[in-house]
Amino acid sequence: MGRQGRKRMVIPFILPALIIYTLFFVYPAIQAFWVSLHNWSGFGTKMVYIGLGNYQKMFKDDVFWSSLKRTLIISFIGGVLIFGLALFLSSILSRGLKGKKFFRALIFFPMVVPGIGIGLIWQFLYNNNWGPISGLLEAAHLGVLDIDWLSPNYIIQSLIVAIVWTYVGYYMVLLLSGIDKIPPTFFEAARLDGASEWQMFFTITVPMIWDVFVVALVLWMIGSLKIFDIIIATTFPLPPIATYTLTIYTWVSAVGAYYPVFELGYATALGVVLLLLVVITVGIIQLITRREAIEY
Amino acid sequence: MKTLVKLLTICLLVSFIVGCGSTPTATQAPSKAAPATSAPATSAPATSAPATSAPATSAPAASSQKVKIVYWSMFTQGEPLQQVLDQATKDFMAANPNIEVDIKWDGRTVLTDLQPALAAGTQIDITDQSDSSDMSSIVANGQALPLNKYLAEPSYDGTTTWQASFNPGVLDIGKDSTGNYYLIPREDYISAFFYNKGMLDSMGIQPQMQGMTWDQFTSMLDTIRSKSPTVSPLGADGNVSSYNDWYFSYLAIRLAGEDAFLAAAHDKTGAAWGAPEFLQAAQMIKDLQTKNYFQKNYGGSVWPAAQQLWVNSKIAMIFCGAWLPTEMSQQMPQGFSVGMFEFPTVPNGKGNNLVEHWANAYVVLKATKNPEAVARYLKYIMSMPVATKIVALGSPVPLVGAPVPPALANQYKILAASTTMPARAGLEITDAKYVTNVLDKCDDQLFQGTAGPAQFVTCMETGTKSYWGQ
Repeated sequence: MGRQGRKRMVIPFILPALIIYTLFFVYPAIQAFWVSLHNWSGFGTKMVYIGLGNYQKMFKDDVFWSSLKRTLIISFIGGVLIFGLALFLSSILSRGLKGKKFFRALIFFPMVVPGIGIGLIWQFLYNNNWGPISGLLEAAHLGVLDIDWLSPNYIIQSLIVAIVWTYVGYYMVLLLSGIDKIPPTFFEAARLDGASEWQMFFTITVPMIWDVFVVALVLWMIGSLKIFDIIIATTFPLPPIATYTLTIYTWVSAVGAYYPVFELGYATALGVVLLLLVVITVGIIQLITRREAIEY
Repeated sequence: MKTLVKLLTICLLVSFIVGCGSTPTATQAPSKAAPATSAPATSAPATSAPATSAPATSAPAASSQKVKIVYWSMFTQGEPLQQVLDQATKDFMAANPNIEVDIKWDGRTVLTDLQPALAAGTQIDITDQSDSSDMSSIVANGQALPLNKYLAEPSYDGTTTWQASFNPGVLDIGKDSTGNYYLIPREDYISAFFYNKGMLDSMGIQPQMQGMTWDQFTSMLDTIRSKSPTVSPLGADGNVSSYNDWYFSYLAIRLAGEDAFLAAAHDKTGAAWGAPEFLQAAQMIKDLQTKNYFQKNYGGSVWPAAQQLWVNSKIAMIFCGAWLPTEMSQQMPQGFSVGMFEFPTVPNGKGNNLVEHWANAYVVLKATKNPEAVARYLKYIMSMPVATKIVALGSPVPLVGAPVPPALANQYKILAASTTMPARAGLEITDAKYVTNVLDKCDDQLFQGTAGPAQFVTCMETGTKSYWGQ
């Protein structure tokens, strides 16, 4: 079958999915941009065209900027901690540790629990009145360290700890799958050449799992920029403004979930900005992490 | 097609937000919007409560042709108030066989679900939520039916007009500037200090229900501290911004008056927040903090932890909406008695007579094809037999002659002697986003002690200027 013939064969297979994708994602996404150019409460069909008014408003909106800052802090600081820990744990578990499967399952376990459940667990852990963290500190006569974990001053740090705990297992498993595929002979040869563990890690492990690492990083950035459920649940019943990320601010602005604010047009503009942020971030990651060939 | 596209857009936006995570469960979120009764009161219900009897069958139906009306409710299946309303609706339909009431028990996110439904042209005749939510969504967007005509008609039992069956002034909650009434309040609430009556009695303290001065108030807190050092005089769940800002908004309105408070919020330069009364209000909050009246770590306290400490007698009093006794009724130990008094007054205050008043209320959609049937149904729900059942659950109903839940006996006494205002003087209805993006943002820092009074005022000035400059 020639090249043209193969093309003809492919089209019928991808066409149904393409139609569905176009109808249910691409077209509404374009329509979402159109909606973002309107002042619309979401009640009724009356929309007032305001051009880029929502975007102009956004750039003067302090809460938008603080939400964006918070989102990026979670993505970058959380990312550094997650990938640092994931690399460390996967390296340890890849060394033929006894009970490897048990520890892998244990560290992965938070990913099995829904985000809402995770959030409620951390809300309990951070509770100053009956939470175990405060209880342990009191028992150890370290009550002075028992801060208001969920107050505006510390809540983002507290949330980052919860997020890292939740996601580190997932990324560890991804990286571990890459490490497990490295032929052991590479390490044996390096040892014979006198390489230290650190040298082997940076010159063999990291380069050999680079493609897995990049995929994991892209997944984390997409997920973290859209993070929502853990924060909503940890701060249940009402996320304080000090916890607003872009997704929470979008939600709060759209549907009057907590306060009677109904600005679906503005919220859609926030959603469009979030979409652009995800696309740009992923593009930058791919640009930075591009490798023509594996060097080890 | 346009409608379908809008629906898809909303769905995309929502799915984009929530990703693959679970949908947030915001249905029980406390807010200044009065939550619905979520638990039956353990305190003695109104003793005169008769069972909900079937309505008078002789009452004429709205139309001889069978009609269907659709009610999207803020309650979910199983809630005590849902059960009362469900049974009342069945009784109503039995007595009015030509009216079918189709209820969707949607829960507290009913207005969120209403957005795409209205865009899709779904028949919805009635919905209910807090008055501020109803007003800023359905009414503000021209989707509500004025109810003046029906309020002028006889009430369900025909003894008076429907309007006259409500407590004086309560319908103003849903009145617009042109004099149209849009809301039918079902339960109404004020905000007040709720205290552990048994505890304060044992200390020989009997708070004045109304007219207590700020000095008398702080003196009472000192007395509680001295008589029982392990008890925190005040409690607060610092993670609920809309509870935190009660202190500042009340003090600011007490000192400067309602008009000055609103004028400051609407001052495009933000400079009006620099008035000395607002700084004084912030300093009075700072004073509460420095004297450690609140429980330890109140800033990080997650609702309902402080309320739990209150019913466990670790906290003497807490400022909240009048739903508090019902909300905590299942956690209250046997014999726990609740007292309430209004927010203290201040010397030379310009708003000492004001009390916040709001309601969970019905709103009728303008698109309804059966307004007569809808009015008839709502008249029945707001008739004395049904109201008495609602009161028996601990929720006050604003009908003339309705029994009052014992824990809220003072609510109507306070209302009778005060001038009412909407939550945060109405800012929540007209400018809810200002409340979250400016007032709560600055107030959280003040209330939790991370910003001092002067910093708070600066925050309000710059935040207001920036907000209105958008």
